[in-house]
Amino acid sequence: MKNIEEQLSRLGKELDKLEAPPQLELRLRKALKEKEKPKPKLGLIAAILMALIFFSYNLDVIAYYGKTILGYEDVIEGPINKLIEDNQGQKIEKSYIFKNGLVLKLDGIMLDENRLIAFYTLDNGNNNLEDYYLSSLEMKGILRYYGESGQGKYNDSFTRIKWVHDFEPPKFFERNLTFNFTLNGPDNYLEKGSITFKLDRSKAMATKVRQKINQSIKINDATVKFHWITASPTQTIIKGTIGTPPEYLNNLLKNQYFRYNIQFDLLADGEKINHQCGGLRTSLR
Amino acid sequence: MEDLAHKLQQIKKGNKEILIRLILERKNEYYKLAYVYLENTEDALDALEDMIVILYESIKNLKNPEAFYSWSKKILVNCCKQILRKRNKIIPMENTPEKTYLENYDQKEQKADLEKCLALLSPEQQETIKLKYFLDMDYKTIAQVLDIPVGTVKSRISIGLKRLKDLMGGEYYEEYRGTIIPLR
Repeated sequence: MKNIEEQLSRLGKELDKLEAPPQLELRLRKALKEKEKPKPKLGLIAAILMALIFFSYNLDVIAYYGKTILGYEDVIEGPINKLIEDNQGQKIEKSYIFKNGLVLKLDGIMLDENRLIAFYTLDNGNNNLEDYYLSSLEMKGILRYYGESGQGKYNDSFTRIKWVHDFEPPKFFERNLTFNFTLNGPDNYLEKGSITFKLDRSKAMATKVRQKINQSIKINDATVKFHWITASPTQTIIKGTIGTPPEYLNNLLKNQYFRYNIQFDLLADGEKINHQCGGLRTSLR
Repeated sequence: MEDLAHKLQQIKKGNKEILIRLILERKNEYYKLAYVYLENTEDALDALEDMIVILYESIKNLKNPEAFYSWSKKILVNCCKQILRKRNKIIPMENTPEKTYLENYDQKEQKADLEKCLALLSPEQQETIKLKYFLDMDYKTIAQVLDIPVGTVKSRISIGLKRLKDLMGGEYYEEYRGTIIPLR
């Protein structure tokens, strides 16, 4: 037995020559680099799902602008100019000429807390425009703000199209923005262009109303709570929650897993306002 | 030890650098331990990487600062075993890397026999014997690192040694397809 132990120890002696390779330090550092600070132990918490809701409403004002802007004949001389005169938006009037002669003109922008709206025209002189379209729309400042949705309308001869396009609202520190776009056309035509302009916040439309609602109502088994309302000249957003933690817990205990849904109307001075979009999401609390 | 407690406190607050230095202070110990299990540099480094991440993430659970080294080695051993399990899924055993650290051993034949016989022991017996004789660990440390009672360590070693002796006895084994099969 002694002999075996001696032999084993002698084998082990070979290991003494072994040294950690120099790259060890680098490897350890690399492994830890991505790791965040360890989080303190939270203890036992009940995971409660809370539904957050938000709804936005078209105020009549945007419907009005939308109609008038899209009906091209009225746009420049009519309401948009008035809008800009009233400090309700910023006139840009800068153009980009594509190599094939098409012209994109950024007429103006409007800005509020909820979004940036760009008004622009794509013009093909006397030629038909239907085979062309714009893609990859973004406003680039220090950060990028992507186009969200928009609608456009051709003139009667389909040689010109007028667009109203929503973008994510630029952050407060943005001064200069570049409107980037790509023109796509027949025969794989592809051309990128951009228009740079200075954001004039004094002309951006301010939020008119932003106040807490903090009112709850009980509908069936769920409490619906409206937290706050933000109404800008172009959009009204109401945010709130459906369900309270005890209600969710109660549902969980009863093995009821379902999602709430809700529909409601917003009345302004007794008149119903058109619902534009809404969303519902759940979060862990 | 107070110094160590202070350092651990710093690590708990998110100081990665102190953790790295603590490990590097005893880097050869850690590296050899990983090498005894994995027998090649790359895997040993992988295991050490895995270990330091787990240490950093779970150091809040370490209540007794004195236990840091045995605790971290225990984690390292588990990381090594994890890698061995993955390796066994991918590479057949006969292709495992050469045992380079044994190459210069002068009594080559005896060494080869010893190695072969050692490989015939159960994994538990192998690891306790390696920790004791290759890394010079005492029973208590082995028990802490493997998270088993000291009595179990002792019995694994003594049974393992006895079996090794039987296997090394010469008359009791023969070569068969390159592997030593003990005669029943």
